[in-house]
Amino acid sequence: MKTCLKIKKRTMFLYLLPGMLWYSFIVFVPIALAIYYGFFNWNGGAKMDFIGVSNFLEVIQDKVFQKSLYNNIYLTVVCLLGQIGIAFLLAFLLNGRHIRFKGFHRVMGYFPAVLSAVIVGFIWNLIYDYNYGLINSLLSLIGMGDKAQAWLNNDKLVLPLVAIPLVWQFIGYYMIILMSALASVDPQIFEMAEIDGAAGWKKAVYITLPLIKNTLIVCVTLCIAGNMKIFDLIYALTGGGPGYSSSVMAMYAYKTSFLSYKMGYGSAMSIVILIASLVLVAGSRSILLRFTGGKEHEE
Amino acid sequence: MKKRMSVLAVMMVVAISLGACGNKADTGSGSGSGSAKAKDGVELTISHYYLEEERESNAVGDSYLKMVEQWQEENPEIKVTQQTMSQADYATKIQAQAAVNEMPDIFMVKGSWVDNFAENGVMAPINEYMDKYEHKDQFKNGVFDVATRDGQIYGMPNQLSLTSVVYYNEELWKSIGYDKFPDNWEDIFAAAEKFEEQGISTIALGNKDKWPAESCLLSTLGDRYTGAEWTNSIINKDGNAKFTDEAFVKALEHLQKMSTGKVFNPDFNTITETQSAEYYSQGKAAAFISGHWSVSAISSFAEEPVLKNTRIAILPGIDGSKSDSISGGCGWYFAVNKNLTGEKLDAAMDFLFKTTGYEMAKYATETYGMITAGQIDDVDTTSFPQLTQDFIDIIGKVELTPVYDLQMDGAVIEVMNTGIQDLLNNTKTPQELAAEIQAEQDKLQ
Repeated sequence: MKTCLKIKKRTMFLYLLPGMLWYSFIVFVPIALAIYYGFFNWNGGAKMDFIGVSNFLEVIQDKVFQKSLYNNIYLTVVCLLGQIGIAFLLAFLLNGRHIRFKGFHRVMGYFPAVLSAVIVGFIWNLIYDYNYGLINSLLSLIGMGDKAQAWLNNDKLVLPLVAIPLVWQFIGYYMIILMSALASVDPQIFEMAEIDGAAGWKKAVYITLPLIKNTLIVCVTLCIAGNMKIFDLIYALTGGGPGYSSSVMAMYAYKTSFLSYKMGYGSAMSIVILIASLVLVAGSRSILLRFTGGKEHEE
Repeated sequence: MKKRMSVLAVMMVVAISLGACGNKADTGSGSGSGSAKAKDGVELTISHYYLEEERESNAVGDSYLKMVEQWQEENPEIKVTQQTMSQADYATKIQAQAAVNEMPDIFMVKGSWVDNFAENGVMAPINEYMDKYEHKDQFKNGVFDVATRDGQIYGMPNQLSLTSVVYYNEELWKSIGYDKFPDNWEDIFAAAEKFEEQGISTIALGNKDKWPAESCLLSTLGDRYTGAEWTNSIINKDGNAKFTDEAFVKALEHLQKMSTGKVFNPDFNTITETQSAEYYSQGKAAAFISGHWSVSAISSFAEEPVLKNTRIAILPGIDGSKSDSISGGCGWYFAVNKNLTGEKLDAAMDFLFKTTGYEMAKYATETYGMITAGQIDDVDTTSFPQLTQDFIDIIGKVELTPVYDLQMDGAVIEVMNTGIQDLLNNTKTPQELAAEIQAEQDKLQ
């Protein structure tokens, strides 16, 4: 009986083999190839010159790449606060007893998340539009028509303006995740807290937050990973412009590889992006875990 | 029991890998027109981006496909297989094929790839066949330049891009006292002030996608300042000409002055080229600088009064110098695989000259009023729309100068195009931009 259920290690490995093969083929081979190509001066043809690590060094010193990395981090910070912050507030409100039409609010809140980034880009392009845009029309309506401008052409404002649709689109996504986390908390805990006199923001900060911290960490990880690879919305909205003002790393890598035909340099850049993203995700996770884990020990 | 489990696992691996191999069925390749039986076993594979389903809206594509059909009818013993896909897919696929040297027998080459492909030796020179070609003297000057390296011609041009044509609304210019589009820049800058009072822009520009300001404006403007010798030196990367040379910096200054002088619509960096064509077509701009492709765009967008008043001109010269040139040239070529020999090579060359040479140019000109690489005389233009006739009248006579993005290195163009957005926004000086472009050009030598 015992021997029937116990599978030998070798057999187990054989069972895992097909999946492992597929996984490594799909994930590791392209990454390994990108690392390999990163060592060459290669423009897509048959001619490849081995140049060692100079591509990687050049990426790190590339001013445009640094600017793009800064933009990625800026967007990540704004989205962490905007997306997850607002999503938590909304989820907390919707989980309360005094809100009506919960299903309706949930659907409307989630609605932007199902739109394709190109459509979101188009909608917000219209909002920011110079001639027909909502903002410029409102400005002229309240007698401030002289403030009207081609919004996305303002290199100082373009990054916040790009961040707004990004936050808008994904609030609903995190709201649903957080609501499901809240729903799984025993309602008796909240009732007890209320009896003990915790209400409003105190209940939110001292009771709710610690109870759903694991879900929050997942949300933060998703948010950072999502923002490090962002491409589509910015491509649709500004194309990285004006100049490189709203360029992000993925877009710069794409342009380097497929518009400038610097395939080797683009591959090296992808690897640097991968490392930068891993460092940020792993770093934020360990900080959060230590922070919240420390709290647990105090209790 | 254990043994059976391991056998099962091994079988799963085999089954999955077999499944992966089974997907080799040809899905991508397009309409094979080779219904005829190949007698001598000569088969030609052609790869291009003229899709059958876009034929009605694509004059160049229709002309090419028509020539292919004709050739197949005349040569039923040779099996022609066409691999067609969209232009973006084509660019990706052919680059990958070049990397492993598995080119189709006949394929399209973009001007900026010629260096790379010639270095890698994937294209056969056509000189020998060109010398025997009956229509070899009936092409416009310089149309083979982009595909020529060290005297070897590597391709036949099948389309001519004219990128810098001024379309202007005669009525609007008359309303501020100009009978036609000005022949000097002072008048254009003066007109910009008058048009601004009326709330319309002088020249519609849609530079969101970054190429229009460079391809349609700077290519011509730059040549007016630098002259052809400078441009050719940059294209050949011989190091004599530099982007930091005074003449080119002046051209950039000029471009920036157009922006600060409010010649363009204020949202020039946030709308696309098509949207700027709409601005013009709605009468919100007095002129529009674009390529030959905008004849059809304006014809379909413009309201009747705008269309009726649309005239064609070319950009003024600098300081009263002559202006008899615009940027234009051949950007795409058809080339033959270097690995072909004997009968197959002869067949491929015959196909190349018949489908992209003089006959095609003649067909495209007579059917669509297109200006092509071929020198087609005595075309009866009266059946074409007025705008097409004006276009042929004026543009058919000018000299062509190199289009920057068709001939300069792709990486240099990317830096230039992106920087021009900043330049027009006045957040970068002409000197800074020139230095940045030159730094990229320096990497090439």
